[in-house]
Amino acid sequence: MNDALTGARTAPRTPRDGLWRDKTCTLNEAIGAVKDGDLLGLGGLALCRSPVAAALEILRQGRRELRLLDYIAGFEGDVLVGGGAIASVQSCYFGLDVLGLAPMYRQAAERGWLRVIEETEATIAYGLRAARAGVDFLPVRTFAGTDMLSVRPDLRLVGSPYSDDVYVAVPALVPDVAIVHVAQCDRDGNAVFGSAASLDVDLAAAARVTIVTAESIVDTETIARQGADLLGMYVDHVVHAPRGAWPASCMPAYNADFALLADYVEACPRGEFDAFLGARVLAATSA
Amino acid sequence: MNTLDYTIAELMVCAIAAEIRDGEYLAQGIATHLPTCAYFLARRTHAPHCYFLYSVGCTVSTRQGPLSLLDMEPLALDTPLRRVGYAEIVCDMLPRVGFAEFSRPAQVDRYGNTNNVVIGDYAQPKLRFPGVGGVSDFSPYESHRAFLYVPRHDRRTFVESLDFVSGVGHRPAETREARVARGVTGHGTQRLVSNLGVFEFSTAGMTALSLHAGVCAADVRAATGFEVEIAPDCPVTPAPSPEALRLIREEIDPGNARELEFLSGAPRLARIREMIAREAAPTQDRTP
Repeated sequence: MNDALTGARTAPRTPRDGLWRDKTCTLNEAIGAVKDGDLLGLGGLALCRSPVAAALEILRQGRRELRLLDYIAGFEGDVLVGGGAIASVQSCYFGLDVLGLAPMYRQAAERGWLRVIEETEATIAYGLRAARAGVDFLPVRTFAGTDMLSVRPDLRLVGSPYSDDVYVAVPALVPDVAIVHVAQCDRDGNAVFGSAASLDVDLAAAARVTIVTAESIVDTETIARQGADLLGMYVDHVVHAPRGAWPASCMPAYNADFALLADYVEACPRGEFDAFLGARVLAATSA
Repeated sequence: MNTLDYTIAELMVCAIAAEIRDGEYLAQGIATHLPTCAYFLARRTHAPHCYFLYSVGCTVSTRQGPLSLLDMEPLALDTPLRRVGYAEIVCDMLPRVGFAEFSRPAQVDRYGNTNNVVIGDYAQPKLRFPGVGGVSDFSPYESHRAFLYVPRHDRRTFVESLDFVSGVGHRPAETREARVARGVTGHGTQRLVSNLGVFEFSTAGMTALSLHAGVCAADVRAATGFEVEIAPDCPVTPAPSPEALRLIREEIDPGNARELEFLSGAPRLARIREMIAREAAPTQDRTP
């Protein structure tokens, strides 16, 4: 049930090769891995380490009907929705931090232009862990007393083989492509986040294809001195994308551009999304 | 109420802080400046050993600094005790350890059940909120301490019947055994701090523990869409101490971020622009 929207219900069992490679390529080449209809997993957290440059390239390449998996979604998700690339959203929180509701997501959800698949922290975290473990689901204690199951009829319950306990069988979440933006990365994909880990290691490890965009490409020694947050074994493409999270933050390099985002939340309800994106975001990123 | 020498925001900060136990883990939401102000106050007063679980930044930390709009992420990342991934928080910590958390409901009913999903019909909602975060995950866990705060106590928020149940409180007259039998091992919403008073939830409904100075029972009943128990001798919420007010105003929140949660729409955005301009003005290094 609902497989068309929530994707395959079985975990991937084909191994990654995991071998060292020089995985560097252009953003254009890497985003070529994203196909119409894919389950697209985006990393970061609200306005922190959001893969904005990658989202803009997805729009530029004209992708459509993407199923967005974005744990705590922010600006990167809102521009994809506003650009008409998204058919469904799986997220436990979709907003612009202190600036409140994400305007294009809110509009699309309220007008029924996209399908919202209700998720929580646990259903996404355990879903990715199931995919990492190569199992179809994980039993989870969650939802008791809420209406969540009534809007997720695709979720099954499973009884404990050892007691009378009943759990929600949270299905494996297997992104076709995951994109994570980081502070530093070497050519094989060993990465230092520089800020909030969010769910990005699980997201990268669960996906069929993982793209890392990085503020800077550094040698492996530089990563080793800090300790890698993400290992290259989970990474397929490495892209040098300086300021690739802007106008979200990528600490310690830069903070979020709250002033620009304040203009954004004012412009969108006036129907000025396209104009704002062109004049204030694309113009600044291509300069 | 303009004769008081404190604001409602300051009173709510102190009332929230009063619920915090020393040594516990305090979970923060996203852009929840009012409870964050209270957490910082608690650590500087009666709860010096509590930990902050910063969601933006993903850290367990004992650091606190002046509240701000721009620098909450740098603060959370500044020499934390540990950086944590969200799977560690949700899958590994929550089932056994739990946190205290103040969250803000879009709707709350008489028994402390809450809605943070939609207003109106689920398929064609009038309003779609950012999402539940982890609130719908807490109900099976006995260790979790769930509190609510509401800066604007009115009948839009305090409703007879929820449009969607995403957070779990209580059911009328339900026994502990019956509750556990349906999987709700957790204790449900405990207390709520609003701009009118402090309230407790149980299987008997919502009871006022105290009303703020200048608020009468009729004010609360007029602003609440269900029956609320208010004893004739219901106490007045203790006024903030002079030292608490000094800490809030001079050290914890000199920029008055706590007032943001009382604003919405254009006035809120205007206030945010003012704060951004003020915070960006001084030459300071923002890199941790």
